[in-house]
Amino acid sequence: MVPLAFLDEGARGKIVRITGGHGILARLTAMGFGPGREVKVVRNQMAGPLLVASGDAQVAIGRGMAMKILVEVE
Amino acid sequence: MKGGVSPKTLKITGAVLGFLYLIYGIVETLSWFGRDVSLGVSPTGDIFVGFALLTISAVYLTGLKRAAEKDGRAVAYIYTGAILGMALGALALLVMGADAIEAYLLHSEDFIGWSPLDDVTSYLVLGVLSLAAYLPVKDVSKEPLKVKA
Amino acid sequence: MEGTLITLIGNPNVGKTTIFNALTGLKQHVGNWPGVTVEKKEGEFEHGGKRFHVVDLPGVYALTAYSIDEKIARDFIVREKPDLVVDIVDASNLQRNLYLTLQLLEIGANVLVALNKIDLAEEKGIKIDPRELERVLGVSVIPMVASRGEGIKELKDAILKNLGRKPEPVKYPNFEPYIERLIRIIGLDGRLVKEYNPRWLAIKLLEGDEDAKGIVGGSPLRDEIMRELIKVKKELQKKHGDIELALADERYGIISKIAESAIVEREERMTFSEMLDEVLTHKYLGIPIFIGVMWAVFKFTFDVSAPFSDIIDWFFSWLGDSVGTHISNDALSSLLRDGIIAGLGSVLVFLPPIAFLFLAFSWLEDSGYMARAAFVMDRVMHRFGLHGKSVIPMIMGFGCNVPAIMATRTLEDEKDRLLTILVNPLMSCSARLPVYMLFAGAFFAGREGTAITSMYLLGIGLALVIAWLFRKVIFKGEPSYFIMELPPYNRPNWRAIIGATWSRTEKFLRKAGTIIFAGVVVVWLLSVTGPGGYLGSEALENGALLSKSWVAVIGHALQPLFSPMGWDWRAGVALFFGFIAKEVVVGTLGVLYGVGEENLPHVIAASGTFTPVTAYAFMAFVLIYVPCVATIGAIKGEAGWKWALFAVVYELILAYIVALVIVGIGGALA
Ligand SMILES: Nc1nc2c(ncn2[C@@H]2O[C@H](COP(=O)(O)OP(=O)(O)OP(=O)(O)O)[C@@H](O)[C@H]2O)c(=O)[nH]1
Ligand SMILES: [Mg+2]
Repeated sequence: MVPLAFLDEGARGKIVRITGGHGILARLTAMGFGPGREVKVVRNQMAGPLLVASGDAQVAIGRGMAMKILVEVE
Repeated sequence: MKGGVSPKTLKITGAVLGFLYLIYGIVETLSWFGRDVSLGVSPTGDIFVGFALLTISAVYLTGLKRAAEKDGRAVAYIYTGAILGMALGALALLVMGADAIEAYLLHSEDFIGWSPLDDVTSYLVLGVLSLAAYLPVKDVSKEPLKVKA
Repeated sequence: MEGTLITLIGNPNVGKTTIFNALTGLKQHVGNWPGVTVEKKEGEFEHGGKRFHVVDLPGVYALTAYSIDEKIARDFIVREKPDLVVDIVDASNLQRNLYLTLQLLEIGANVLVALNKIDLAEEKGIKIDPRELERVLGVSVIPMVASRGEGIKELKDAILKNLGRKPEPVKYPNFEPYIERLIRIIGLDGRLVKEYNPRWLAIKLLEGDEDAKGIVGGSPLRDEIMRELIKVKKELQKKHGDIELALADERYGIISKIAESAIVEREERMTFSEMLDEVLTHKYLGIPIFIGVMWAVFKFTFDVSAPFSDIIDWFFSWLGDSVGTHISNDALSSLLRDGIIAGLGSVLVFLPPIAFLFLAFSWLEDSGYMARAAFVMDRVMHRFGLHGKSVIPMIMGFGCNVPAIMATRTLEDEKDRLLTILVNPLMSCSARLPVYMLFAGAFFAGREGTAITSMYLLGIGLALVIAWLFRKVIFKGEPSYFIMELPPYNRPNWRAIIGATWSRTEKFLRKAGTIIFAGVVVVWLLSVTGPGGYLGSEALENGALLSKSWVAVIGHALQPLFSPMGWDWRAGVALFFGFIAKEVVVGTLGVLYGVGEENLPHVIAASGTFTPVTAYAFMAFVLIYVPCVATIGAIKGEAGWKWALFAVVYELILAYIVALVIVGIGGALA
């Protein structure tokens, strides 16, 4: 399990856990980025926010937030 | 390889336009510092023009670099560089149109003796050239990469 | 409420407001980024002989009680019980959108699905069979392309046809027996069942929803329900772990099945949005491109609008001349010529650049680039204690600070929001443009562009520095987390762009016809009268006479304040009235410098009351000092009186300091 922020561009993974409060968890889940979802890192330039895709949804996630999303790399 | 455009085409457009934008970007920047070098068209003396041209040059050259690395995303840089270049060229055309109204319809004092050639700027010419970069890549997004039922 | 109540709900940016406008004929703000609508909007329409009252809600991803928007949307549906809920679903993003649909069905609302943006879905290579979706969801599905007006008629027909239906609830196989057990007990309280859907209450209780607990807390069967809930929860936890997560998983499982059967074809393509994003969100290229885009927008605004300004200028000087020669009554002729035509005319000359600015920004808002601007600027903003999403209201501030301040509502965190509101007036709005153009034209001829650009940069620079300072001193802590959906880019949708440009330009014209008009008339009146009575129109041409007028009284009272900057009393008067609306600064100068035949920049330059340095300081002062009345009102509405007052005070102080510094440095260099 590693933070989402550590994944390279193009890497895929499965979200395992989201720390940082229920509000964030609920918001991410509703946007299609809850635990259990398969995600793909579209853009991670090791600075600034990441671009992450799950299905057809694509969101920008701040680096701080992305440290709190733990994923299992495939 | 993605989208049916050959890497060679991408490399050539990236290199040619990248260097053209680079040269004129430098010329425009120098003109702001008061050193007018005229390569076919007279520079505008606007630092932002220099900045914008150098930025577009960087986009094309990144495309060239990606294509050299056989990265499928190279086409995105050529595509976007061409769109930015053409947009800037379109802006130059609009400005020319506005000046034409001043000169021919309103006969404004400041525009006595104005001719459309006065408004042919580096970014207008380069915008037209960017069209050549755009045409081969414009339909890339319509071609499927993979088909799933 | 009169008529039948229907509400539009859906994820952010799916086209709710586009549909709302198409249904009601209104012109609410549409833009291509999530969170454009921040306040519910209402309207009406008639169809099939029935009157409908429509409510457009801000976009939400779910109906939890964790975020204010979601709570408002949910309360609206639970309490107001609309006759029909039109759930707008983005076809290019079916799975995520269905999450909300399921929750609406849970509440037991009468749902109708508008499957919007099918054009975009097809571009992405996704084909959906609406009949199949209809079958699996059990509610009507209307495919549409709202931005082109396709499907609106069908939607209206479907609204009419679907009144009074009650869709089947969605079943959650892993949870059914447990939900049933709770329903059985909740069902015993007749009052509760009448007010709420017991199934929804049961699910929410399982999720640990505070509101649902509150609702049940008012029931006489409270203890029984709670006892059963604890038992059920324990069993479920043993089976699934975290119940809330397990339920979300269950919903996504169902959604996957629905999507699988409804999506009949899917190709993978590199869309043109993806290609643009590869470059526009690039680590190094993103910010230079952003700066280049902003420059192009302003270049367009100034250079392309110039001939139209000349036409207006020419028209007003002609009007002034003919009024002067044709009307013999001194007071009336002076009111028209020196007051209204000179004052209002000097403001209206700037109608073209303002309209072009609105056009450029409406296009930018439609394009989808705003969300990317937030993305690339997040890093920079963070450094100054602002949030990535602060960028959107800041860019909107170049148009007008009032909607920009409203737009800060997309910021979830209160501190981030207050900070963004407080620095927003420093973003130079279109009303300040006339002042810059006037003074740049008068004192920096040939370098107008640089002078005006430097004003915008000064505003941005100050906003960042002040934000950094306030973050250190007042709003201690870090900006909150950044999550934002990036919508696909739009090819220009001219209908929407022209519509938005016109409705903003119209607002400016209305302001010119009311506030600015009143402002210049008052200034004229106070110039031709004085403590000694009516002075005659000559006051505006004769300095000795003018010094006996009321404006001179005001001006001289203010002068000590402004003399360190080297401005004369007329500048003081202009700033005084500019508080109403910043265009009035120019209008006032137009009246006071008695512009008849010659144009204002020449007159001011020739009058010798400003030097380039004091003129530059004056431009900076106008940029910074008190926000206009409407902006103060907006700050008050969003943050309260205390903060509105605070904004006025800090900006006055800042303006004074900056103007002094400019004069000081300018004096030292000269
Ligand atoms: N391609 C396409 N674009 C659409 C369609 N309908 C709306 N849009 C565009 O989608 C964007 C968002 O539209 P809005 O009506 O502002 O969306 P909203 O749901 O009200 O958004 P929020 O208020 O932010 O929640 C705009 O740029 C519209 O022009 C459609 O059918 N197809
Ligand atoms: Mg909306």
